[in-house]
This record gives sequence, structure tokens and C-alpha cells, in this order.
Amino acid sequence: MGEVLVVTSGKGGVGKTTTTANLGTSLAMSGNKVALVDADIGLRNLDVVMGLENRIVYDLVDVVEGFCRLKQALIKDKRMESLYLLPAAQTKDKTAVTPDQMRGLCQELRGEFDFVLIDSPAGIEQGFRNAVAGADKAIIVTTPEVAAVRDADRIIGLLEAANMRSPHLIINRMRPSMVRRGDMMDIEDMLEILAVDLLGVVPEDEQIVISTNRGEPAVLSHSSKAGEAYRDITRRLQGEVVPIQPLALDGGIFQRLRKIMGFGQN
Amino acid sequence: MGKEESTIEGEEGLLALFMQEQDAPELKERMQSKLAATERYLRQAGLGLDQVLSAAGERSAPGRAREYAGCPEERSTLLWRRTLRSGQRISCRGNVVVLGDVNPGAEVVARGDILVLGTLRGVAHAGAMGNSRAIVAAFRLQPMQLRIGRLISRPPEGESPPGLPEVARVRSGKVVIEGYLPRGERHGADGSG
Repeated sequence: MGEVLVVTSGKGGVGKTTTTANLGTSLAMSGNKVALVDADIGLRNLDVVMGLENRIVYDLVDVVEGFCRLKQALIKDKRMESLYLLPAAQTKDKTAVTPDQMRGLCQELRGEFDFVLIDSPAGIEQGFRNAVAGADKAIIVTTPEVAAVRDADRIIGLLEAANMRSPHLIINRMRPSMVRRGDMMDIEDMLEILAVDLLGVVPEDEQIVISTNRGEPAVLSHSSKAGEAYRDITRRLQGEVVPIQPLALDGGIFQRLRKIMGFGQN
Repeated sequence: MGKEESTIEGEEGLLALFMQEQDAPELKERMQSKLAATERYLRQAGLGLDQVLSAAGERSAPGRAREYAGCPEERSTLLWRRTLRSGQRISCRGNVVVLGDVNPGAEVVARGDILVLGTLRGVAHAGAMGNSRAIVAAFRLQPMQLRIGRLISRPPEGESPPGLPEVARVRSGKVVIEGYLPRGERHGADGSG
């Protein structure tokens, strides 16, 4: 039986979809059978980030309404043999699905896959409730911003109320240089408020913009720093102990060198 | 029912204990059986199940929690055994003790005193029915806003708190924050509260 993980955040734009795409791809790269589920009905994006937009025939709503079988709606990834996507419907909205239907869907997927990753919509309304309904565990994505951390805290509270304890936290778009100057919340600050397990820290990386636009997850590229962080997170998800990269924690040697050389103000 | 679950106890008024590993429906069920067992006592205390549950965080939407529920009278205490997160709110006719933090965006309202065994970063309103002798105390007092009785105050900007236990109270019409002195707490001794 596979594990169902929901990727959620409360706030929009912190990188839920990017995280789902990268973790899913990376889990598949390490030999797991993985299903990605886009629960953001009406505003689907995961297919675009995965570069699978032009292969969609059926979607999640078609499956829960019985228009097609689950197997028909699952799109096989173009690079990875063991990676599948269940796209969201674009012409419907969040009310097209109920939490019970999502639970049933997750149950069915769990039998087929090692990991099921659900990409949650932003917000705390029905879309969020649908996304978390069938999940065993939650991965909370936040960025080092006060508003994002506040929303993450709200989400953790809601998950606790729904009896989903001990979520994992991913801090996305960290900029070590800004933290060093005291212009950005540091990891300690965030963990003190959220008091949950840290699964990983993903540095801000321009390559992410390029890779999401091209529909090629960053974990596929070995030059991407964010991709490297996502690969580490994948190993942690599978139970390996991988230290959090010191680079993400404190600026790294380049920053330090630049500072010494006198043009460190960036 | 073991101590690990939920218990209702207290001699004067009522003390409700919510253990961490419970969700609301389960809690309701357990409370129901507990309440049935102590019906006569509870009738005296004037407490119903819905009042207990309205203190259970998520259950109390901001609009609905206006009546101070959770504990029946001003001298009783509600013990909250977890961190109160953004969007969660507890309110009580008596005092509130939080074993955990009160995060930004969370709110604690009590007719009596508020004690946070952790960091208070959210909003706390002690003496909510106008009792200006109520206090707010926390291991680390960094509230978004403090309200005592009818007074509302914000912490001064740009000042970093000392990281020591502190007490907020009203002195000559102003909310003041003082270091907590274990032996200097005369609040209870002079008969107020």
C-alpha cells in the first residue's frame, strides 16, 4: 500500500505545484511508482509544469463522476516510466468534487502506487478540504515571509483539527544572503513559530522559472541548486538521514568571499 | 478512562483538560459519557457540552464564540494543552492557562487572567468583561496586541523583549509590562481577580 501525501500551504504562490512536480519526478527517479494528483480544479497548473498539458483527455472530475476509468485519465510522464499525472478539470470548479470522493480516489490510487502526491490549491475552503481528505500526511510549503508563515500556521492548525498530525515543512525560495543581512526570516524563526519537522530548505533559484516554463522539473537538471535540494528532500521522504545543506543555512563560501572582497552587498 | 484521554475535574468551578491526541468528535463522545456520569454536579456548575466544545479551537468560528464558554464561572480555569495556531480562538468565563504558544493570528479571551506557558505572539484579552485587575502572563510576552479590561495596547515598536517571564497588568489606567517576580505576585493576595 502506497503513501498519500498532500502538498499544501494556505498562501498562494509559494511553490506547491513546483514542489509536487519535483518531488514526484525525483521519487520516480529513485525507482518508485508515483502518481501526481492536481486537486486545483479550475486552475490546473501541474500538467503545465510537468509539460504534459497536450496529453490530457480525461481529468479528475471525469474519474469521480464515473465518466472514465482511473487508468484512462492517468497520463504517463514523457520522461519517467513510473510517473503518472491525474490532471484537474479546467472547466469546473472546486465544488465538482467532494471530500468523500477524494478519499475514494486516494484509496484506489494507493493500491497502485508507492507514492501519491496531491497538489492542493491555495486557500482553506473546499478545494483544500478535498485535497487533504484522503491524505495520510501533509507537506507544508512556506517561504521566508511573515504572511506565508502565518498561513502555514493556520493550515497546520486546520490539519490538527482534522486529526492530521506532525506535518513536514519545506521552506522554499530561501535566500541565504538576505538572511545573513537580517532582511529575511531565518529557519530558526520559522521553526519556532510552526514547531513542525523540517523536511528541507530549497534555495531561490532562477532556473526554477526556466524549468517550470519549459515543463521540465528542476530535479532533472544537475546544475540546479533547487533541484539538488529537492533530491535531498526525496531521500529524506524515503527515510534516509540527509543533513540540511549548510549552504542553505548560512550564505555559503561565495557570499563570504564576496563580502571580504568588498562587493558583498548582494 | 485514563488520564491520557480527557478528564473533567476541579473542586471550585470546573477544570476541563483536553489531551493532545484527540479530535473534536472523539472528544465530544468522551465528554458526553463523562458528563452523563457527573450530571448533577455539572448542572450545579451550569455547564453544557456545547459550552465545552465551543472552547475546542476550530469549532468556535469567530462569530459564534461570543458568549464566553468553556468554564462556568469566573474563578474556574480552562487548561489548554497545545499551541494555539493562527485562526484559532479560545474564550472562557474564568482564567485560561495555555500549555504551549499562542501564535500570531490566534486569540485568547478570558474574563479572568491569562497565563501562557510558552510564547504569547497573538492577541490576548484578559478581564474581558471589564475587569481591569486581570493580568496576562507569559514565559515570553511578545503579543500582537494586549487587551486588559477595556484597555487595548500594542507593544512598543523596535524594542526587543527580554526573553524572560513577564506580566502585563493595568496600573493607573495604562497597560504596563513588568518582569515576573515569583514572590512579588500580590495580585491574588489582595483579594482581587
